[in-house]
Amino acid sequence: MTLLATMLLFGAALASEPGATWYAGLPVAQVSLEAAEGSSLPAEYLEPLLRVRQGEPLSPAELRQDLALLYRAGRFSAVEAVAEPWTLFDAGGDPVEAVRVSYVAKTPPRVDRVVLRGVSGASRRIARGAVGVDPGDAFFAETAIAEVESRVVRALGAEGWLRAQARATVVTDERGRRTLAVQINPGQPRRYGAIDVVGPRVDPSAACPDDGVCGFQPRRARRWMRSEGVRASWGPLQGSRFVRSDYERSLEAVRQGLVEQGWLQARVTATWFAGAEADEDRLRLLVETGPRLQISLEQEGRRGKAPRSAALPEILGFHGGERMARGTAADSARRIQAWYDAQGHLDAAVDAQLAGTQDGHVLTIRVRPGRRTNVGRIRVRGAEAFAPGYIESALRQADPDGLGEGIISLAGLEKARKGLQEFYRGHGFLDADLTFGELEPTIGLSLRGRSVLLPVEVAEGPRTRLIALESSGGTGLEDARLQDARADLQDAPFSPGALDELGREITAAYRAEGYLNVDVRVETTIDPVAHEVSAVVRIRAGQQVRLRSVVIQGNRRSRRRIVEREVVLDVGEPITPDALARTRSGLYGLDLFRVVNTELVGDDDRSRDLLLVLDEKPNILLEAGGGLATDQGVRIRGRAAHRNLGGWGHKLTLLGQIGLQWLSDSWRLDTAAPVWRAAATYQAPHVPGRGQELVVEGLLLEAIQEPAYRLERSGGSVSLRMVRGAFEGAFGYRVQIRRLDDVDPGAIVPGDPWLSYLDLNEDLSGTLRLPSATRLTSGPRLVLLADRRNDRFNPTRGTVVSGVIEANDGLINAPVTLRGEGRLEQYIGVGPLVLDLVGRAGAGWAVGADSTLGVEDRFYLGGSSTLRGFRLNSVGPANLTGRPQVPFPDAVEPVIEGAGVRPASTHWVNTGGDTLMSLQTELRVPMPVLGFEDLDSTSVVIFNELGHVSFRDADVTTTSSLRSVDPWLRASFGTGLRVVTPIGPAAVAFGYNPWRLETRDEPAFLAHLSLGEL
Amino acid sequence: MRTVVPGMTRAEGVAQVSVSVAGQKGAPEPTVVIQTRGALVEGEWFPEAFEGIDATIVAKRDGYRLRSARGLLGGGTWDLQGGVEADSWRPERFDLRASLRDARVRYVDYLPPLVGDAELTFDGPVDALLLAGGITVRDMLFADRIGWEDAVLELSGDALAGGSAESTDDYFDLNLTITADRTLRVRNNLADLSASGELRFLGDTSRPGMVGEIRAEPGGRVYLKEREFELIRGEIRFIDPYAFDPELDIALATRVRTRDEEFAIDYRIGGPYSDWRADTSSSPALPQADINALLLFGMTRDELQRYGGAAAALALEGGDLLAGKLGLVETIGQGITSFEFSSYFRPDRIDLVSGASERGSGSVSSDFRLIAEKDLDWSTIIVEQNISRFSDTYVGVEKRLADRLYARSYFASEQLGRSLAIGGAWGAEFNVRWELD
Repeated sequence: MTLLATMLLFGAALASEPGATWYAGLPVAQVSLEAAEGSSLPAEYLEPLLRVRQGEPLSPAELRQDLALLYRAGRFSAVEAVAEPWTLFDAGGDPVEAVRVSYVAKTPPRVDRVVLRGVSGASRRIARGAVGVDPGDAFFAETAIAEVESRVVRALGAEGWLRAQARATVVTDERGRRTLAVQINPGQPRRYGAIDVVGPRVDPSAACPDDGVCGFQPRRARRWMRSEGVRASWGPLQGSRFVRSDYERSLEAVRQGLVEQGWLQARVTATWFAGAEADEDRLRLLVETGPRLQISLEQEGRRGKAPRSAALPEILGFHGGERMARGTAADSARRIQAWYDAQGHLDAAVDAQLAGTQDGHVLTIRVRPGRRTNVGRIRVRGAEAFAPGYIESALRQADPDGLGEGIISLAGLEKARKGLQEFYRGHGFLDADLTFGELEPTIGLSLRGRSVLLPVEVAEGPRTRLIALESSGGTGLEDARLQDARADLQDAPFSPGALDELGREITAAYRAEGYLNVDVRVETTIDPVAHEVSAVVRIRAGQQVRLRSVVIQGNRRSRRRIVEREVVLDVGEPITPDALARTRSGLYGLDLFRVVNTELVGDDDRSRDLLLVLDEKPNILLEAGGGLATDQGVRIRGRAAHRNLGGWGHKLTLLGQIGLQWLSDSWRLDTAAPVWRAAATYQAPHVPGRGQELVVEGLLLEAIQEPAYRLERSGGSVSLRMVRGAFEGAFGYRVQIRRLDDVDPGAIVPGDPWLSYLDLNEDLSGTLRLPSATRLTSGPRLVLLADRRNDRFNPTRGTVVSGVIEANDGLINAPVTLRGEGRLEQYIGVGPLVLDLVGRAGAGWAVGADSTLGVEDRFYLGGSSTLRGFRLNSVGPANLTGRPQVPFPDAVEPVIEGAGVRPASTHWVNTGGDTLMSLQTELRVPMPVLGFEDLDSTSVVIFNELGHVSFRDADVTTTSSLRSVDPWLRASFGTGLRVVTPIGPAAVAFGYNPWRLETRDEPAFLAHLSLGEL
Repeated sequence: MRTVVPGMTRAEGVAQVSVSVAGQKGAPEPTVVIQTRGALVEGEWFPEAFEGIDATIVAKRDGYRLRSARGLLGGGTWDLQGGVEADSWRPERFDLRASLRDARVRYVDYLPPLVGDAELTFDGPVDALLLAGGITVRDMLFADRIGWEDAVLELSGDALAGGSAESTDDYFDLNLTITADRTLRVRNNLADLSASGELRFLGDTSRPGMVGEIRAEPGGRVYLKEREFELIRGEIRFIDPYAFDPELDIALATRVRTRDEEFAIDYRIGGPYSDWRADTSSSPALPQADINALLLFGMTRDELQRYGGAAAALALEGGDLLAGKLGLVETIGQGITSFEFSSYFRPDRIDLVSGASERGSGSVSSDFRLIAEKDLDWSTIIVEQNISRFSDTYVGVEKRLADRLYARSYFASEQLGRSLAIGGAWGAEFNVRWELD
């Protein structure tokens, strides 16, 4: 700051000194930025930032701005401007007096490493924090060394290392790297010796010597101290190390403890003495309590709960330091009455008396709480513009802790009255008033006290109308919004809230065009006789602020280019809050920076420099976790990631997990069957071009669990992802080794490529081999997505199209297969109603006669995201297969039942198919359309879903196809509720299967819950 | 005093007023000296009483000068200096400077009390007054339960929408800076973190504005329902000074283990506060609905259907959110904390939840569980009791050994993998994270 001040003063002097302003207004012949002797300029090219430009008249103000900007952006220790007389020649060859401007920048010496010696553990942590210098920081050894030493000694001393010594040196190695080395001798830390607590009469119950001074009750003090974190301040843990934060907290805890006990003006003073041992210090706490306030609350009867005694000081506003005065009793009665009132005791009578005692005061509060009142019903009369039910909801919302909870309190009623008045005011009823009538008892059971009817009389008064809406001072950007607002608001009831909203919208519109300093005010003129309002939107747009330059700071490891790529503004473009937010978001998205600050620098009305101040995260992330349990065995997981390979933001992540279970009832781990998986991912953002990402993945033993099979796969893939606006795509190639770890035989069909790997014949005869032999697959995969919905979270209009094409190319292993699937979702708005149509189709081919896709590649339908009248994946062909009888214990029966495993000798296993078609139609009707005005976040949903899954080849048979029990088209109907939430729509749906197949054990109804868009 | 000072609710103490007149005939110069000792003033305009006021004010025709003015406020002290220039007793120009030390003030009733220092000035001509200065927050602890259920699940909209308060007069301009250096602390059902901030109040009393940001320290923990997240980034930025609608930028991370797989989940909350949105991603990748299901029930949607948990999940979520909305949690919490416990035994946090348990049982249960947490100086004790099945109890002791190293040992009455006659399952877990160059 001193340097900055010096520099600015220098600049100001240069610019304003009368004898030195010879250059003002002269044409600039040349501008240069030079390094002072012994300094070097940063890699960042700063000359484009300069406001002083060749050929233009020299402005002292611009000179000052350049100096300030260079100092801020270049992190120089000093910048000077040198103006020299120069001569230019005009077009005619005549000499013209000019000026040459040189900025001479001095870079500060920086530290490349910081090394601490002689300390470890807590003392090292404290010393490191106190050094206050990080690699890359400027460091002037001549002055800063002493400061560093002093800071370290002070910090260690404050934490108990009272005799600490520090010596700092700066060493420069042969490569010119500067190391700040701090040699520290911390000495012995202070340890607690005996602790004496002394003070005038603290606790009347304690036995005191004749002099009237007695010790603080050690047990109580210790309890306070211990509860506040002094780990070993005295007593059994005497000898532990002094920790300042704990010590200070404990002092405050003792004081606070005294305050809670009524010594509101208590003071605690600590004094240290030399202890019995050399490294121990004896602590004496002098406790001065001052007068004590004892609070006694007596509540008549057993109606209602009295406040906890510990909560009384808070309720009465005694936080410590208060003195008793004449009005204290009355004030206390008022506060206690307010407390009872808030609990619904409207008739509470409170009397408080303050009396003096030998050592302070006694505050006696007597309460007759009366009956607690509970809102049975609210009756609204006089409301014509809004339905009484609506007014009732609004009243409850205006007093959420009172009426909202069914409690009537005087304060709550006043709050509700005010809220409703504001509500009416916001809708043009400027003189609206509410009165609450006498409470009328109602018949009803309530645990909260007597149930009453709250009569509400609304006097709406005349409704004021907005007759004119004009604007002044704008540049025209407000026109469209103003026009819409006129259509909506003019000649309509006056709504101050809507006008404020209009003001905010116009502000946002201007800011979105770069008018960062816009000021928009809506002024209204009310005619109280005619009940009319005229409004004028006064706009002071200011100047459009454009981006002059981008300066990046703090990217010590990350290359400038990857930062620049995320800046969505180009030089010369208007600066908008949205662009800054997107830039910040993009930079955070790189996962390289802990903090991203986007500062706009400069005091020019028309332009600003964008200063990106970045604080990089460490490059390497290591994470480990695990556990040991007597029932589940051992599991360990680890993750290692390098976030910023080569400074390009490329990321390498390694992941591993292993779990070992106990061997039966013994305490030996089953090391022969570990469950493990590992994965590695390399992500290269913006490779090969902007908006693209190259991803290389490798995985070992990834497990996929499905109802009918468990698949393990290992392999690798290379893919290229692209994002451009609403369009996303990925193309990749993968090689995998797959193994069926477990499979229900019913899921296998003739023509399945797994047959030979499971030692099964084409007719499914043979002995099933599990786990299967490993099967190699390889092939390309293309994924496309175009999302043109109006809202990703709660869409009501728009389209989403997606498609996947993948193949096994047969290069490594047969058969060649091709699988394609497409999905189109269209949201159609019909007024407030939304019609959601989803069409899905898929088909797969396998080369060879009577062949089909493998069990893991087939299409399935049924469940919460497809056909909701069906269980998961249960639509389409199925095999009837036998299974062994297992006597499941009661505790696991629900799980077993949910898994579709029933204690029958046979069961149906869905095989899926290689052809799929489905059409889902869902109509969403918002509740307000049905008359439920205040349920505007909720919609009723009615849906119908049609689906078909089959095998193309008739020779690929299943039990259901052989018995011809599969209808070609399956359908479900249903209804549900859908609530808009910030985390996506929360939906409850009940699906009905009208043509259920009893032989397939299909349920008639199924309930589904979904949170978020699919 | 109430007739002179609008909004004053309480004024106590004795003021000694001395009036002296000096000067020449025809031009007397009266001087009024007002002295108070230990006075108290309280008004509607400020939530705390100004106590122990010792002040001496000298009033002359050309101005009012504070010889001394100090007192107590919220357990701290204040000191006022300066004076007011006047023309024939009528104030013309203010020049007041105030210092506050260690004062505890609860200015807004929905925010916790703030303990801090302040250096304020109130100066300028009467028609262009400016309240300026800085407030340093030394401690502000958000400990009360925050009913986030209301923010997420609103069956009905805001019935009070469109309301408008009466406008306030433009008394003076504002230029106040509030700074907090890791002194904003949140320790409630929603988070355990500390934050720094710098907020600037500007505009005037009729149209106050605010810009600046609040930034949470990375490494804190955030709890959404029973799920625990690590805070990667937490920023709240007030950009448009008059909108009072800050931009949220919160990044959270957690891991969820299901029966079949373990997922790393990143949760980002962004957008304006009035229309915040949550964006999720996971590794391995899952759709948003699956991630939400994972976070709420500990299972993906497929797993819910596969293991028969959908109906249970439906029941638990409806019940859970309803319990939160109806204030059942607060009621139970108040019931428990209203016992005259010693502060040593009173839980610091209490919540009623359902869904995946602390241990992640691998099945969805609609049972409600009461979770109570107590912070001790050496660790945190977590007790989870299934209130519909008393045989289901979990007790854990968690210790933060280093900045990002947590260790927990626990006892669970119900065993999962195998069942031994040892009373339940005993175990220990650790979780550590390093970042290095």
